[in-house]
Amino acid sequence: MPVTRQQVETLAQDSGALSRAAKLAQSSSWTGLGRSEQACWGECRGSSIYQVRVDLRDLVSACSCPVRRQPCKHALALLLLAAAEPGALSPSAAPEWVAAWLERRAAAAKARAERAASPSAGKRPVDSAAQAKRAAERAERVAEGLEQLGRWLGDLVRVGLASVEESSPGIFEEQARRLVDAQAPGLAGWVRRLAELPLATPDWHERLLEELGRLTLLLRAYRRRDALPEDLQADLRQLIGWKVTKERVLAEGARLRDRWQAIAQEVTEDDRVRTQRTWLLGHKSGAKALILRFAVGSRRSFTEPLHLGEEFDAELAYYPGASRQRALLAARESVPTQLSELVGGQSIADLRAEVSRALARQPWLDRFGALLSGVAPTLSDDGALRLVDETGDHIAAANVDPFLLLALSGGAPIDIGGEWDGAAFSPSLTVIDGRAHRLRPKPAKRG
Amino acid sequence: MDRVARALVGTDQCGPTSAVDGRRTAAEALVDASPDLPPETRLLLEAGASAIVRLAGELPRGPAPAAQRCPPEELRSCSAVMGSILREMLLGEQGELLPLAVVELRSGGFALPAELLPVALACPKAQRELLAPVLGTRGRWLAGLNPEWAWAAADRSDAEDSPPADALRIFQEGSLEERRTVLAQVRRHDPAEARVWLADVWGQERAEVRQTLLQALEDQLGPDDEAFLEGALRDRSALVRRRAAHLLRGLPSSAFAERMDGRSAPLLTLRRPDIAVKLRAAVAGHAPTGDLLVTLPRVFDPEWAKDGIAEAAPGGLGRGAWWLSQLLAATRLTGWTERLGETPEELVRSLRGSELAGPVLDGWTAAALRQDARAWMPPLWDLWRRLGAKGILTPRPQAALLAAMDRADAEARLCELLGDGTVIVELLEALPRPWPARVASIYLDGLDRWLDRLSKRRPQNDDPWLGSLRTAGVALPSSHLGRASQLPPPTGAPNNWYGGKWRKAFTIFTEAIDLRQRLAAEMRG
Repeated sequence: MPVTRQQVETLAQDSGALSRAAKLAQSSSWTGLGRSEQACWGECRGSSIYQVRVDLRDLVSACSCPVRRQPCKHALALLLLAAAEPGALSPSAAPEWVAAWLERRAAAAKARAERAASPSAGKRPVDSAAQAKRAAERAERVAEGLEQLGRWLGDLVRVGLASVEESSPGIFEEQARRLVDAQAPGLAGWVRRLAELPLATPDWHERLLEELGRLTLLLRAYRRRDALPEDLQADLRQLIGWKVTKERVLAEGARLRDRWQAIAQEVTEDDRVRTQRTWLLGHKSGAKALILRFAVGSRRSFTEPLHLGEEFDAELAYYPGASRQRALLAARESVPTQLSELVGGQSIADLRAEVSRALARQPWLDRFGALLSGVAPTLSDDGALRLVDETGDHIAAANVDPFLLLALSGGAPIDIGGEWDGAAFSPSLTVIDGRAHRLRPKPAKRG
Repeated sequence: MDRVARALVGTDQCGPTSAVDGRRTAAEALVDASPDLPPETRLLLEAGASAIVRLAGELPRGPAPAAQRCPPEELRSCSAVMGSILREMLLGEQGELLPLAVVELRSGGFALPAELLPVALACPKAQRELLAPVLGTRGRWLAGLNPEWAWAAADRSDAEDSPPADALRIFQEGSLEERRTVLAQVRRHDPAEARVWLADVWGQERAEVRQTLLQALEDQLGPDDEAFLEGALRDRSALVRRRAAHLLRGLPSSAFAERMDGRSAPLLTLRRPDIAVKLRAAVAGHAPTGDLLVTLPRVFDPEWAKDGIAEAAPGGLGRGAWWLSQLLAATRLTGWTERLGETPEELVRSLRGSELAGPVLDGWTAAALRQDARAWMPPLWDLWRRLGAKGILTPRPQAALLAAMDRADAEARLCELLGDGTVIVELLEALPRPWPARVASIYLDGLDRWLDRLSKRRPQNDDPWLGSLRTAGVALPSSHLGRASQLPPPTGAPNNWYGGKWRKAFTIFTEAIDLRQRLAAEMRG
């Protein structure tokens, strides 16, 4: 599988890394260059000699340099070199240090697959009685926590929201801590995020009341959960904070195999956790999926690269629930390639209808990935950006440089991937004349 | 009372709501199904349900905004690779390469790639002139959508040039910067009008404002401005007087010029070559040279101060020499050729033996630069080179003259230097870019030779060839990129700080050359 420069650019975390890598992408900086069907490798002379290897199937790299965030500049340089001068990397047998790494990767993948196939294998025999007891204890603690949350919500509205302006963010923090103690981390995160609302918008009172209302609905639904369909129960449990293990998703989740396009991606930072939301859209099925990844602490790269604007064959496993949004990549079946065409776009009206249907199944959803087709970026009289389709239907667009979208489109209809949050569409990706353009500003380089 | 108001005040304060009055929305009706709920819970459930209903039922508000469509592009579009190279130049570490790259884009008939237009339109003012021709139809259309980019808009019709309709109001009420800009616009349009505006406010402004606004007259300076400038010479502020004198020095025939002629003429006289000199010159085969006799002014005439001449000399400089330099700088150079009856070359040559060559050279150089006297520049440059002196009025006289003189003259001089293996970084920097082919060839020959013997060279602190690499990387013409990329890297350079510096500088040089070659290759398609 030949590597292209575009792929390397997609991999790079920022243009600085790319230009640092470009300086090393000359065969004179390298010794022991080679490639096989699976991988390419080489030794780069920098301040000392670094051993660099890249698995060509998924472009995951490893390097002996001290930089932990992969791909490092050496790995990028090796790929740039492979893209620019394929001849410099002659086919040969992998040296020991490459072969050993590939074996370790294969072994890890196999172990993952086995764990997925039989979740109990390789683990200590489970004491099911103790497990059931722990589960019952937790259910009880959550129920108490939810009762307390209900009283807190009621008190807020009985006393009046006017006091919130002064008591925020303290009251939200405190309530979030209580929910953590009650083992309901999902709700804790929700309550903690409420602290962002006061004074953020002119209509923040209304927004806050809506959120408090949605929480109250959730509490009521949980109280009478036994009357709800099973899959909606699963959604409620996840919203409250019960983790569904990857193994369970892989073992039980609904599977879908397709060619997936990464049409939108958002990264948010919260304390020490970076969260990456990537929306995938299937070529054949037209199905969507949300892949969530987290990076915690100092090791800030996401485990397996997933880049906006690429497409690949894969089988997904959806998390249990009625919403059928979040999924896991169960198995990748091809090397990702840069998108040169977006397939399966929808009209604005279609998106609205889809959102209505999704909310009817699971009313607490608040973000929807979408690929809008044939929308013309247009400035309204007040300078706000709107996306207008050929029928004259239009929606607000935000979180994007309006002039970048106008420059790329020239005001003509284009296909745009992004995320809809009920108030505005956040454009993330567009493909014009065969070229993918990422519309999200790259997060500033840190450290 | 609506729901938000009740939530704000608190349900305890509102009393029981008459739940069934008026029309109930579908969301509210859902809550009515459980009648025993306390009022705060009812309110919260209604709010939650209607939030979901709103999310599910979002509809466009009002008609779509009118379409804005860009007309088709007339210029060629860049490939993806060109786009990423240009991005590196616009935003990355290769900013110095941008000017040449843009020139090459222009000659290839390309427009900047669309994704870079917002960056290009937001460029610093100094880059506008450079970037405007490669914005293309798309760029000009885009500029029309953002008032901040008016400088590049399609329907410009001299938006930048012609003053705005409310120019006079801005001039009277705006900030200093706005006033300066609007006055400059008016000046370009109607020089006399600008002068009238300036005269109208002249009496009431602070010195700093007067001095700043006066600069507007530099554009389209003409005989009509003389009277106003003469008035400004009597200003209270020395800064304003000096600025006015500077402007007057740009007027070839004026009372100011006459006064200066009168003051300077007695200071320089030419002693014609006597018969002995003529004979010696004839034997040696060159034209006989006279001697320029220089008389230093002895006393400072207070009248001079009114014409912008400073009395106090900078440290280390004789007062007489300082006054002489300034007087010469303010005097018409044509006066000397007329009065003394010699060409500029002859006059400059006749200065060679003089002890006072320095101050005269300094004054003449400033005059030549101010009056754009091209014929004077090459001989002045040659003499600076001979004397190796520093200028006072013009701090880097050689670089300034080289940048101002006719290209062919500048080229010939640099080639001669380079041919002798002499590199002066400052001069190479002053040379317009891209360098002429001849300079480039000789430079690369010299660099090749220098690199060849680098291993045997003693480390030197400011190796001029080393210092010139950075400029060369961005200034060599595209015709010479191939040749430059074949230079041998300094692998044999000694393994010390000197060799290290060379290797580093050479890497930067090759990167620049490489990037430019890649861009050129992409442009050829």
